[in-house]
Amino acid sequence: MGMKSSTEPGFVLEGRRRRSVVSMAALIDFTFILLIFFMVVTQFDKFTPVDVTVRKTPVKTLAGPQPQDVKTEVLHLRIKADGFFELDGEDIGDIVGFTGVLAHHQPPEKEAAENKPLLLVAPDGDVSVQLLIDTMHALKALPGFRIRIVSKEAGASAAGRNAPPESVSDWQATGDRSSPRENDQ
Amino acid sequence: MNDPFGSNADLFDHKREPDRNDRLIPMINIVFLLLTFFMIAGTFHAAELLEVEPPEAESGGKLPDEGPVVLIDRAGTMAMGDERLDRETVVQRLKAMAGDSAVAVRVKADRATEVRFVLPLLKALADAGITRVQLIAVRRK
Repeated sequence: MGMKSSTEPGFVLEGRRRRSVVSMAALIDFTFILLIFFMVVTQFDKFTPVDVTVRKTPVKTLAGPQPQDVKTEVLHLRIKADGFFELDGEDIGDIVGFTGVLAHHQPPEKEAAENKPLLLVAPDGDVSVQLLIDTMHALKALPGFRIRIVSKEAGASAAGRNAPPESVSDWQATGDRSSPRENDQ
Repeated sequence: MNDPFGSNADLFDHKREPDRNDRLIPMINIVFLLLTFFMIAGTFHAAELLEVEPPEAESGGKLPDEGPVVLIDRAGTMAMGDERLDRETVVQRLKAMAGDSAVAVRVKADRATEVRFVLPLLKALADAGITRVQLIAVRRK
């Protein structure tokens, strides 16, 4: 032992052998700094798009040109900020139950796409984006409707906020429910 | 003479006194594992001008990387890139950009933002001839 320490003076100290030459403490310090950096900076949220097709279409022509004998049914669904829904002015419950009421208005058999009842979704101005997206998702369970989001002309003003859905402006935002992305779950 | 292996004991040194560093090795292992996990599993995103917490949605698609992003925070303030802008300016700029590409405009609104701040923007985009819009959401867990 004593002989070894004399031949390798830089690595063996006074007869006590050491396994590592460089102290681990520096490595640990550095690794901790990297770890903290990555923990703070990384995000785990996975973003996903909700496709919307916006069109400039007058509400009066939404139902399309209609022959005399065929009349497309138009339903007005109002979303209120408290999370409750009104169908043509009638209270139909919250996000959990309203689709059940709407399901009764679906045509019994598969109709041609252009003749499906038109469901105009008019959120109040103070409805949150989250509620609107949840509503659109809940409406996916009802393939018997053509669904359009409409907004009131005076949507930005408090006075127009609670106006009845008849005061919708001449444009529409279409929740593109049949987009491949949304069905890609 | 007490050591039956003589000088070979250097090679199979089981009776060596534990080094102070030896106790740290399991910790270093764990820290390296954590570090590797965060490096691989996490993603980086550019810092944004407004504090926006997107709504949750069920859809499972992947958000494309390209396209302009309009931020709307819960007070209705809009921003694009590193500037706060009003609605008219946002639409003007998007209209100028839309000329050369068909990518969707991405709207990143806070989940608590009222739709009266969002729908008028969509209306203005429709008026400007921009029809493809994507609302950015977070995949529901």
